Amino acid sequence: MAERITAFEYVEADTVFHRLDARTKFFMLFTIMFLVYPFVDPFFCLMINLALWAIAFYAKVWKACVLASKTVLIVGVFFLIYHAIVYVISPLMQGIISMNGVARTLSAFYKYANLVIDVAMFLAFTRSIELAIALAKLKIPAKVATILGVTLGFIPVFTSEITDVIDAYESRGLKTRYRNPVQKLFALYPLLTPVVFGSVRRAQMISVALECKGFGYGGERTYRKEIKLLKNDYVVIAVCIVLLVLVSLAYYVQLPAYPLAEPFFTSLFMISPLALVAAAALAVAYPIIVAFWKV
Amino acid sequence: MQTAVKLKDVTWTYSGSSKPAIERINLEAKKGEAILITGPTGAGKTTLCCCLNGLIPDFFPGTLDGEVIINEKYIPALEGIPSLSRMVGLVFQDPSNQLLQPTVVDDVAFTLENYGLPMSEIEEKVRRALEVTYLKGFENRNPHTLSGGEQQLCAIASILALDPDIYVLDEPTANLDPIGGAMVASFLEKLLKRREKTFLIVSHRLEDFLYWVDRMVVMNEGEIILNGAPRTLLGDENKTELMRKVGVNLPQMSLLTHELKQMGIIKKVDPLLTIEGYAKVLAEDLKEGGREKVLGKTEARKGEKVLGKETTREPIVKVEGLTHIYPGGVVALIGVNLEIYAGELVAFIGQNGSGKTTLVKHFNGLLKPSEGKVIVDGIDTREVDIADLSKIVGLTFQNPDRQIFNLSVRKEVELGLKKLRLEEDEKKKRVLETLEAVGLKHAIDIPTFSLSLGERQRLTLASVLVMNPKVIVVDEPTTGQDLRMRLEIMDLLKEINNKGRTVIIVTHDMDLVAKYAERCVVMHAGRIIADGPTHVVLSKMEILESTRLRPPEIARFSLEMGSYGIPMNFLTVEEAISFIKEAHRFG
Repeated sequence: MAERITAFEYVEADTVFHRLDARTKFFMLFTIMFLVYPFVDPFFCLMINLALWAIAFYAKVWKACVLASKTVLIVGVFFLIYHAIVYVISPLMQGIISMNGVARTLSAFYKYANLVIDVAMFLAFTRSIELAIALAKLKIPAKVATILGVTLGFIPVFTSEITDVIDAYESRGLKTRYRNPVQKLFALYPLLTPVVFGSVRRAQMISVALECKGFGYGGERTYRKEIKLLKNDYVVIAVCIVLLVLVSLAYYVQLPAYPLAEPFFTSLFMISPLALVAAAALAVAYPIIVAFWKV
Repeated sequence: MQTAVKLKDVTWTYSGSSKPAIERINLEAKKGEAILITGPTGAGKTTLCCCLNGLIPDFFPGTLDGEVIINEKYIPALEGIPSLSRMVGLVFQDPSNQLLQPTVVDDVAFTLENYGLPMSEIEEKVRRALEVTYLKGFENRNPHTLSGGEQQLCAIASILALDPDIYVLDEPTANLDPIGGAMVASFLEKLLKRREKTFLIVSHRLEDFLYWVDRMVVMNEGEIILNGAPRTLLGDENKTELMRKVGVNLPQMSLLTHELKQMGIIKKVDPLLTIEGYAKVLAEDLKEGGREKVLGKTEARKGEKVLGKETTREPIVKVEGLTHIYPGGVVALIGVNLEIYAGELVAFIGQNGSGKTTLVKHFNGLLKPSEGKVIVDGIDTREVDIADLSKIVGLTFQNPDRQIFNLSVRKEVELGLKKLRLEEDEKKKRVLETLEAVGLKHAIDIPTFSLSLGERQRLTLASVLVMNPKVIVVDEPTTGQDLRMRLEIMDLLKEINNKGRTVIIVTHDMDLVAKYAERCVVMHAGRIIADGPTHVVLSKMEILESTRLRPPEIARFSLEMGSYGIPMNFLTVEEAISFIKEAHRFG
């Protein structure tokens, strides 16, 4: 039987993305985060979104990204509702139709979705141990790096515990799956008791296990394997730098989309400068994918 | 010979507790010795283990009196846990809490990395540890996806790589299927043969270790009540009786010998005789005067009674061509066909990942079929939601702490009644009646977190029973519990079954399957590979072994008797005693 895929968990595969040095993956993660945040144009955010799905597809982790998106969809819906209330409905009640507000609301949702896919993708092709080693290489204290690695490694265990809790609750005939997010939130409230108690107990057991495995023994910690940057890593790092430069340029020349200039809707039928940046970003991301795919 | 472990008048009281968890413990273990520590839940066994590597008093708050000395000079309280863990390797009951890294090889290396060993040395030690624990080839697997036995071996491998002088193993086989347990035990036995290391093994499953350890220590209520060679302790009638009284899960063959001795049927038998040895002794005894003929007749009657049952009833659960594929493409069930009849007590057995839990989750609609259908009490589960099905099928899971949603016992039991639109008086009545049925009426106003594990287990059952379902499904109700608690839960389920409800149990515990289940369904790789009366299924050794299961000792003993021309079909010690008694009366 194939291994079960869970959200925010490593997915076993042998793709070029899996083989990258964890530091490169880190750099990629933060580059995408940086790309996601400065602009409010939903068109730009959508393009980033498509690029992310393409990477996830070629890295064979798209299923994990779909699951992750579904898992935290409710938070995204809240983002959407919150922004809609603040930037669309409130002005509307004063008789103002704010296209800027609509753009901002949509982009908030996309930004959230992009962030989720970015993190899910990173975790799906990075083992927690690689992450710990990479952090240690980046001069993060070994204790912090190890704890972070262990915590990430336990995400699937926590996820499975929460699934058990939901199953037990639903077995009593009580619903947790509502379309209405407010109802859903109230339905999930009773699950806090077993989830919190379970997490505290689990955390204590992990601490005991860490102590018994010599964690915090003192002296310098060593690692079983050494990591080093290879040709592929340099290619990805270079692409990420180009992306960062492009986005920074867009920021500094104050393209109409920044900070809030109703970019997409005012330039719907024209070639927006922002659209150019977006197209450039996608154009840069696309060759990475194709190049790596062919490796 | 060097003393590896010495405890002198050790008393430990957890902070906030008025009663010591262990009291005036005196125990010595020599280098190369293996000691089995047993006793009921709450006897202080785990606390004793924690004293040996400094978790007590360094990690857990409390008061320690007396002296713990490791390798004749190290005092845990002064050394610190990480330092002492190089000498004392501690493995806990639940391996999943000790597997901290994403691959087997990384997990085994983790301890060595923490101690700062050079890379080449780590590589070599890890390779050796994986080799001796039969984990070669599993290096890059995520340890959480291994079977229970393999996970436990992985936890042991990470200790083994460090090569400590003393191994302390707390319930290393409790969560494992029978073959997994035997695998871990046989590995430890091999390790012991070199007599270089000291082993302290805490276990309820005595049969895994009893035959090769040097000494057995029995604890009860924080004190050591017996300490001696297993053969000596089990050979002494009074001591055996004491062990039974405090709830020690004695091996079935020892129990049989004890009972037969007390009845004067046999006089002197080695209490640690193998199953083959016992069969030989008993066969010779029975053949005197042709007593074995009586046994043959009794067996035939038993078989007829059980087989006649299922043909006369309508199925309450009917599974037709059920296939289940999880998101991500994992095929968990393949073309399962099954009928369960009203009033049956059925056990689903099979190794981890065989599809048992996935199958029972279809009964109350938690999962919907990818192909095929499940009909429960005439309703197709695809057409209704869980809320409706939960009125017919009550499902509880292994860990009670993941199923208790309220801090009050009363509210917890009431929770399932929310959707039933009952009058307040009716609700109160049902809650009281249910709590009385599970023996928790006294606890109605007690906070749920102050209940014991056994009580919490019964509370989860009560929470389902209160909805008055026709079918109760209990997933792994007894894992990791002592004999008394296991019997308590199973007696309760039997009682519920006797009142006419269908009870389905998912378990690894073959002793309890043999004792309580009328029918047994064996699952392997998403398919049902055997289904029938328990005594028939448990006699199919090849099928059971293919799915890492093994019949209880007494059932294997009865099969062994067949090789002496005496056909028997015992599943429990009680049955064996009554058959043998009958043979002696008529023979």
